[in-house]
Amino acid sequence: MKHTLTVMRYNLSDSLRPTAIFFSIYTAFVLLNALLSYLIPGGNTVGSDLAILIFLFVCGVVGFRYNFFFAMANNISRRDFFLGTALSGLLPSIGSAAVMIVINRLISLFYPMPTLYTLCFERERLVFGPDGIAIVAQSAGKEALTLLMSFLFLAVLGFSIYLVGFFISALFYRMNKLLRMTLWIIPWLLVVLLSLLWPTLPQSFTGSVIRFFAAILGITSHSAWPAMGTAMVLALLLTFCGWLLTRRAVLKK
Amino acid sequence: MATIAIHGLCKSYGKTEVLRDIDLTFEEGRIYGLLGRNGVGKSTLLNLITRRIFPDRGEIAVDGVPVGGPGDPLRKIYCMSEAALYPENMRVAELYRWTADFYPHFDRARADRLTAAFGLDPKKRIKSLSTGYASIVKLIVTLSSGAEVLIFDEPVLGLDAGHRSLFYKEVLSLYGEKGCTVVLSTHIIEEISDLLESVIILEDCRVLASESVDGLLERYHCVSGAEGEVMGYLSGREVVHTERMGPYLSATVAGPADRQQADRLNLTLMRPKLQDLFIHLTQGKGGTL
Repeated sequence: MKHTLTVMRYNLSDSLRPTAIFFSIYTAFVLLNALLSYLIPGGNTVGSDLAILIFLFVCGVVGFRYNFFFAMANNISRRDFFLGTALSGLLPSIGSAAVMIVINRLISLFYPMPTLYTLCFERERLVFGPDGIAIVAQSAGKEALTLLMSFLFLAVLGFSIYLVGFFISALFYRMNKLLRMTLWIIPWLLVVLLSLLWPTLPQSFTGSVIRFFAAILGITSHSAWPAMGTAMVLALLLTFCGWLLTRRAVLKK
Repeated sequence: MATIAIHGLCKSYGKTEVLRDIDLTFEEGRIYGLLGRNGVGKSTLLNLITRRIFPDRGEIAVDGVPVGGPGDPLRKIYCMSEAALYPENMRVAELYRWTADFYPHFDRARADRLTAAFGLDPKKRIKSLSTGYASIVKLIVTLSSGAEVLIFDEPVLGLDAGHRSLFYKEVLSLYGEKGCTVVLSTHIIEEISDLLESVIILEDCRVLASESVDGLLERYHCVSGAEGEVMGYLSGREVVHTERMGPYLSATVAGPADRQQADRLNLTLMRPKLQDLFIHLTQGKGGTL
């Protein structure tokens, strides 16, 4: 357990600099955008907090290879390495979500900046301009709850996406070149095949599939909880697969 | 101090067999030389001991505790690898700090002293170090780790003669101070032969020899002199190697020397050098002219 915490601490300290760079760029971007839209009315940054999800995904993706080498150099067990690296996504996810909400609130004082959560689950609160761009999130007297849900939604989604990135990284580390190529091609093949086959499938089947996904993503219920639950279940499943990959991972140099 | 016991260890890469039924014991408080030709499986054996790779079969235990099981016996070992395993962007001083977190007995004072002695800048990033200094960082970390078993895989790669000498002195000093077990895997046998107490020679997927250096050298002797006399001496003996120099012949022979016969034939008897004996014992693997 001690080494799990040390691996966590190492990963966190390793990600401090990239996180600081990310938030500097992000803050500069939203400030510039706010300034530009003040000069040229009509712009906004709806759902710009999606950027943190991409950042956390990248953190997950780069979290395996070099940290694994360092763990091996220090004779750290695969279990400690895995737990330490997987859990080290937790704090950045929570911290980043909190910082994003703070930035969002500060910018919102001067400029409309609805969160990703508002965009996905509280669209009824958004007022859209004539060009279809959301210009402001209407206050419906539940601002605190929206903020809390925005924070939870970002944190849970962020951690899940970090774990997905970590799993992909572990998968690519274990694969040889041929398998990696195949893994790149399969998603595109699936998209092409599905788009070709979708119209030919029975409507009862496609309707059920759509209803299923709408339910687990919280679209039907207009609630973030099913979406957060789905993200966590998916992430936990992939984390388990990540452990299966890590426990037999060998040094490749 | 820790003992490493290896039983029935086998390892193949695809269809290529590297190690076959290896039985070995690294006893505590000794300096071992792990010798073998290129590609014979020295690094593979060290990586198996530290569980950086997995064996096909066999067991490795440190002080009776199986490696990979509960109890974390690998905490007693620090293995300096030939491969670059440290984060490239990390500074040398940071590396010391993190190693101290993983190895609680890490001797920071020793690390700082060695850093100064080797002329290494602790503020430099790992990626900016030359091949020699990259090796030096690994050496310093291993020597300062406080582990009971120190394993060095190609420790003097890229080091100049002065730095190599400093490294050997430090190994001896640490050994005298703490009595730790040291395993040196290197091709520069001549330089380390005076350091070694025991030697393990790998050849053709198996252990060719595993014994004390003195014990190994006593099992062979060199004889030289006029060709005819030497040939007479060699008759009925197991000859490991012969070398002709004009009218003279020099031979490495297995078994005890017959001093009386050598004197009678006016031959010179010598104890073989470890490096020469190693070359003669393993030259069937290619590399001879």
